[in-house]
Amino acid sequence: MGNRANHFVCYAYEDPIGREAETNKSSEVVDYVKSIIKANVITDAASYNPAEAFALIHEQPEDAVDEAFFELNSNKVVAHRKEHNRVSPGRNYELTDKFHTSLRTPMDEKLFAQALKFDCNLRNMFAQQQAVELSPLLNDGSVACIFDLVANGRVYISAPSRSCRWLIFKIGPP
Amino acid sequence: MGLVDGYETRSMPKHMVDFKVFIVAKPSYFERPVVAALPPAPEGKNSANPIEPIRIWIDMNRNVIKGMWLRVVTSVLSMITGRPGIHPREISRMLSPGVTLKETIDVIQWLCGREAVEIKGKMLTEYSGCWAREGYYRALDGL
Repeated sequence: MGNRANHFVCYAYEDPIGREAETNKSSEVVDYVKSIIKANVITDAASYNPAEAFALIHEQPEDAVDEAFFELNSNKVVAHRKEHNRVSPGRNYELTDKFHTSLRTPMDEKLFAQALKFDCNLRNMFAQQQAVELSPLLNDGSVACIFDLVANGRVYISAPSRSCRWLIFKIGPP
Repeated sequence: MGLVDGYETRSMPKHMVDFKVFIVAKPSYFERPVVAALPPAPEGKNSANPIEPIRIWIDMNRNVIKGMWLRVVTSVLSMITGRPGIHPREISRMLSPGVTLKETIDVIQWLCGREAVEIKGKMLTEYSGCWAREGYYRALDGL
């Protein structure tokens, strides 16, 4: 319930109030150098070529490299590695926790994978029967998939219970 | 909050809240649009623009880092589903310093190509509103 609750309750709809003035905009070269540094840090050790990385960054103006490093450091995008056993030159930096945390959102990869899996299963089940019973233990991704299907009028939800007629309901357009 | 004195959940007749819920397909379910083909992940730097920044999901060998690509796409798509009408600049601000504005626009263009996101207007700019389309989660099929 955690993810679903966060996602649907905590986010307000946006109401743009106008364009912000652009401040501290880097030059194109500095942006390019910053992207090289990040690519350098993120490349897998098995396929990393230090000489090629050095050549690529050495082509750029020195002041742009200095500025790019300063910006990445001060914005806490990359940080110096704590351990002192660097294997190859130029790899003694890593992406920070701040960087990784900034990409964490209430709907993560897992939730989308759950939605996709539920959608595929539902398609197979609807090929055999018109109605599918929902488990009370459905995960967040499956519920997101159901919301999407109901919102687009592809399915409806019903509770045709004979034992408790007062609970009978139907969600979704007829 | 509307509860009578002496109310106890354990004394509720459980058969009244224990019922089956069904999801029923309508004829339109079988007419759902097919997901568009998987476009290649945008790379950034190319021969036409040699100082175009390399995207965060591309490594030094010009290979796509699948885990990072998946994370960036889901983060952007999550922002769009949570805040319909949000524009790329606001998304990049919320996901900063993870993704830049150029990367955000690239991802949205990719999602538009996958028919998971729609924008207002013909051209995608940094202030174009973005909305999730039906079956947005299917954009990640095959990644």
